[in-house]
This record gives sequence, C-alpha cells and structure tokens, in this order.
Amino acid sequence: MPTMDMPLEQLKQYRGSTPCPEDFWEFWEKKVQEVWELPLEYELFPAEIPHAKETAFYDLWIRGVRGARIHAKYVKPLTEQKVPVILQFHGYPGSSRGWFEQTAFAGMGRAVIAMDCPGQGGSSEDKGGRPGATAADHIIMGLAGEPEQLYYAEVFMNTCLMVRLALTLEGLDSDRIYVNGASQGAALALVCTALNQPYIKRVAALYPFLSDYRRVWEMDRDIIVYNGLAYHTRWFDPMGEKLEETFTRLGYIDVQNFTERITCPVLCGTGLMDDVCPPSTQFAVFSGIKGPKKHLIFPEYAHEEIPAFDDKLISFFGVEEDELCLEQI
Amino acid sequence: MPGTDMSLEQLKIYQGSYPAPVDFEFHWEEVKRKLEAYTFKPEEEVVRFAGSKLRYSRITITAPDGTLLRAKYIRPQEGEQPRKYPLVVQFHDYPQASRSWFHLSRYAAVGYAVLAPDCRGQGGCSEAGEPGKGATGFGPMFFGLQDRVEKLYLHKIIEDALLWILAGKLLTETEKEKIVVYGEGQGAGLALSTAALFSEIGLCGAHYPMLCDYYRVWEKDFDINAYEGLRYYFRWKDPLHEREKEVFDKLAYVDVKNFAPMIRGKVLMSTGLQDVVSPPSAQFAVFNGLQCEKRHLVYPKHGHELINFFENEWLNCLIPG
Repeated sequence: MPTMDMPLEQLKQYRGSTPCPEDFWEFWEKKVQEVWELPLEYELFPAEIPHAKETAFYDLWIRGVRGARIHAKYVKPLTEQKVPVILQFHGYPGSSRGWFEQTAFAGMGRAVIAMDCPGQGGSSEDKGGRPGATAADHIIMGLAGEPEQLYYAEVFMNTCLMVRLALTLEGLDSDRIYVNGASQGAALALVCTALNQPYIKRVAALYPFLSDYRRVWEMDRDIIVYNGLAYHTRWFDPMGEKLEETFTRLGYIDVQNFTERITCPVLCGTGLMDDVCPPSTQFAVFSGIKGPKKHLIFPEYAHEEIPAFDDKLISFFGVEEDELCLEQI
Repeated sequence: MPGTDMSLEQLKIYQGSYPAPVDFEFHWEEVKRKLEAYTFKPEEEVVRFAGSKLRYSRITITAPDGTLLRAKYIRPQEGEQPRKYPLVVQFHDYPQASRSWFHLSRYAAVGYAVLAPDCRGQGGCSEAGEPGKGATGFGPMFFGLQDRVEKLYLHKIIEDALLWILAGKLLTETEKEKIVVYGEGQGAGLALSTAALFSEIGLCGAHYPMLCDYYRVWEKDFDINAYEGLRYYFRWKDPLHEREKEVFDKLAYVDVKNFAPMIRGKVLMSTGLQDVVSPPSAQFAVFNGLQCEKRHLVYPKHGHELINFFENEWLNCLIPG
C-alpha cells in the first residue's frame, strides 16, 4: 500500500503530537460569544452571473471580525420552499471556487454560501496589523502577539458569521445547515462545526489542513502551505529552544483540538499519497471526532480532486434523515 | 508577456504548421453520413444516489465496430409535466474520465441536461476496442499509426464523439435544436470537431483544446506528456524520419485545427500561456482558423488546467440573457 507517512495501521491509532493549551475551550467559548454578539451587517448584490430561471447568484458582503469586509458567493435555488444550505470553504491560499463550481449544489436543490478567506485569492479584506512577521504564510501571522491576534483565530471567528447568515437569510432551512470543504476548507468546515455545533447538522471534510503542526515540523513537511513553520524556526528560534511555547500557541488554531466537540455526522477523506497535508495530521483530526463519522481512504490519491469522494457528497447532503446520511452514501 | 511558446503577437497570427488534406471536409462528411445511416439505440441504466433529486443514468451505445461506449447522463428534477431540456455534451481531457456526477450536477441548476461520454480505452467506463496496427507500448493516443487513417485511435474517438451527438438527439428528453458542446483539453478538441460537423450546434466551449497541429507539437518538443506516443513512434519505428510525411499526412485528418473553418456556431475558447501539454501556438492555430463568431480568453499565468474564470464565462453563455 503506497503511503507518504506511517503505515495505515499506525495511522489509525495516531492521536497527534501538538500540545493543546490548557485554556483552549475557555478561549474559544469567549471568542464565539464575541462573534455572535457582533451586529450582523450584510448586503446582497447581483453577481456577474445573471439569475437563471432556476437559480439566483449573489455577491454577499458582510462586516467581519475587526470590521473587515468579508465577501462570499451566495447561490440559491429559486423555489418557494425552504432549501438546505451548504457553508462552503476553500483551499489555501485561493478563493471560493468559480460560480459554476458552486452551482453543483444548487443543481441538487441546496443553497451555497462560499466565504472568501481574508487576504487570500478572493475579495475579502485582511485588516492586518498583527505583531510579528508577515513575509511568510498566514499560519504564523500574529504568532508574536496574543492568541486572538493569530490570523487564523480571526478566520475561525468569521466562519461563525456564515452560520449566522444561514440562520438569517430568507428561504433557507435553518434546520439543515451543512458544511463542506477540502484542505484549508476542510479545516474551516470542522472548526465552524465544532464552534457552532447545535446549528450544524452534517460536515464533509476532505484532507484537512491546519492540523498537528508539530508533526508537520518533525516530518520536515513544513514546506508548501506549511512553509511558515520552517520560516518561523529559522527566523525566530533557530536553535529550536522555544518549540514547546510556539507549538502550544499554535494549539489555539490546531483543528485536531476542536474536533472533540463535533457531534453531527462527519464524512472524512484522505489520500495516502498526500504530500501537502501529511496523512498522520489528518488522522489526528478525524480520530478526535466522537460523533458518527466515516473516513474514506484513497491509497493512490494525493492532495488533489478526488471524484469518488465528491460523488459521496451527493447522498451525504441529499438524504433526508441525519441518521442515515452516512449509511446511504 | 510570459509563456511556453512564441510571443503573443506571433500567436495571434499563427496559422499552424501542416496543411489540411484537400479532401478533409469530404472525408469527415462521409464519416458522418455513414454514422447517420448506422442504426443504434442508447441503453439507459439508472444510477441511484440516495436522497438525490436529480436523475442520474449511465447511457451505453455500441459503436459501429462493436465497442461499447458509455456516458454519464444527468437530467434536472422531473416536473409535473414531462418536458424536454437543452443538452450539453461535455467531453473530458486525456487520458481521464468524464467528470464526477457531483461536478456535472451543476448543469441542472441552469436548466440543462448533460451527457458526458467516456473516451474509449481511457479512465472511464467505455471499452477500449481494437488498437489498429502499430505499437501499443504507450498511451492510446497514437495507436494505429501504422494502419490506415480510419484505424487511428484519434480518428475513432472523433467518430465516437460524433456518434454521441446522434445519441444525444435520440434521447427523448433532448430539445434537439438546443444542443451545445463543451470540453477540456482533448475534450475541447472533440467538442470543436462535433461543432464542425453538426451545424445545428449553436455554441461550443473549448477549454485549452488539444489534438491540434501535431507537426508543431513534434517540432517544438511538446511530444512529451500527453503527446509522448508520437515521440515513441519515431524513436521505435522511424528513427531517421524516413516516413515522416506519411505520418503527418495521416495525422492531418485528425487535426482539430482543420475542423475550425467548418464551424458555424459560436465558440468560446481559452488558452493558458503556461500550457506545457497542448502548446499555445497549436491552440491559436485552431482559434485563428475559426471563421464563426468567436471569443478567445487568454490567461498568461495559467497552464493546462481548469480555470474558474473561464467557467464563469461559460456559465454566462448558458444562461439566456
């Protein structure tokens, strides 16, 4: 069996190598409360795609954390009935995928809200101003300051606003809010679910990024999207004397620490040839989920489109009953 | 301007490196005539996805040489009254398979049915058929190169694409006057070929087309990646290129740039200037040969890959304005 990481039997037992800060949940409960107390200021505009007879396309702008203007694509089936909604998150460092890609769910009768992460390939605004280096990846942005100053702490908070939108926008079925994403998108999907659990009924996550930073560093996979970790050591801790402190700080934005609070059904996917997000870091995330879950493993696939996984989304988000959605994929 | 090929100014006037056979159009009209005379029936098998509102099926047809060809077929949710839908026939890149059921579900959101064939002998569900004379120790693209033109693998997949248009018309829910074609890479080449032979196809989306200007591909050492079979052919069978003309004369019958002047419908086309699979010049030879209403979106920093911006434009073309 091909693999870039430990053997599959070990992967299944692996529980992660990165420390979790002691006040992790205290910190996040406070942050979630803050973001739920923000005034919900948003506007819808006609998108560059005209409405079709069956489907409407909108640019959605919302006031995010620290007042940043956050953009999302909003695609909604035109029907009198309330429709389920998928909160869609994108890979690093791109943007919400094209309008046509977002319409696949609309074809299946689901609305989509697809947020652009601030300061990446989409239109959302990054307010910046964080202490520390900005010349490397977003993972380490703000690492020299307080945990709430981390770039990803802010992005995680912004995902909560998408849940609030799903509860507020007209014509959406607030009992059927689902979340989906791959890579960074999978990380955000899982965090968004963990932080807003009563509202989210299902989540699909393909090869999540932002997990088990210490393991990535130990494996020398701190390249490509994790390259910020290597830069941080080279620039600020060349002898590796402050690793415990650094990785504990990164624990606030480590997806594996969130997943224990997920109780809804989770569909997970991993390609064992993944050389971007090492399979062990993904297993650390999925093994922590205590709710119903199915982990699909693709031995010959890397960090790439996996059509067979995508096809599982049709029934996972299509079946009426939550308790059957994993069984009937 | 960046790129893997000649300058943009040169690309804009480049017409290709090898002439079309004098009987090219006649040859393909004959092929089409024979296919139209061929009797076949698309067989439909329902594919079930629990909870889905769309209608998913696998369509199987038998090619005249007996090869079973298969396609994905998705229709919008059934209304109260039976109705017909405009149809997109979408062809895939080399050597892959039709895009996923999930991916193709997008067309239902704008009111289209979609038929997405799998090319014979590639990653999808179609059978491979007989390879024709010649080596088979590389990918199928250049199988049959030592046989007559009709036995070329490339000839067969173009013929299959034409047959799929006829199959699309036979499907009872197809609005026959509203068939559009789309493809990526190889699939864009196939889409253009079908648009050339069926003047009723009003719209063709060609995302980074290939199967064009084989001489240029060879001459500029693009006969690696998807086109590597051409290099193997010469290395193994004709290292001194003593029969080079014979080979390129045959390939001219399956060169998509030679279909371009025959197209009557609209064409929306893209090229990424970083394309190292299908050289940008070969793609421009196609575009420059089009004499129909056409639009070319050129992306300086994209390669042979799906480009969201182009898909947005394609979506725009599908929604009646």
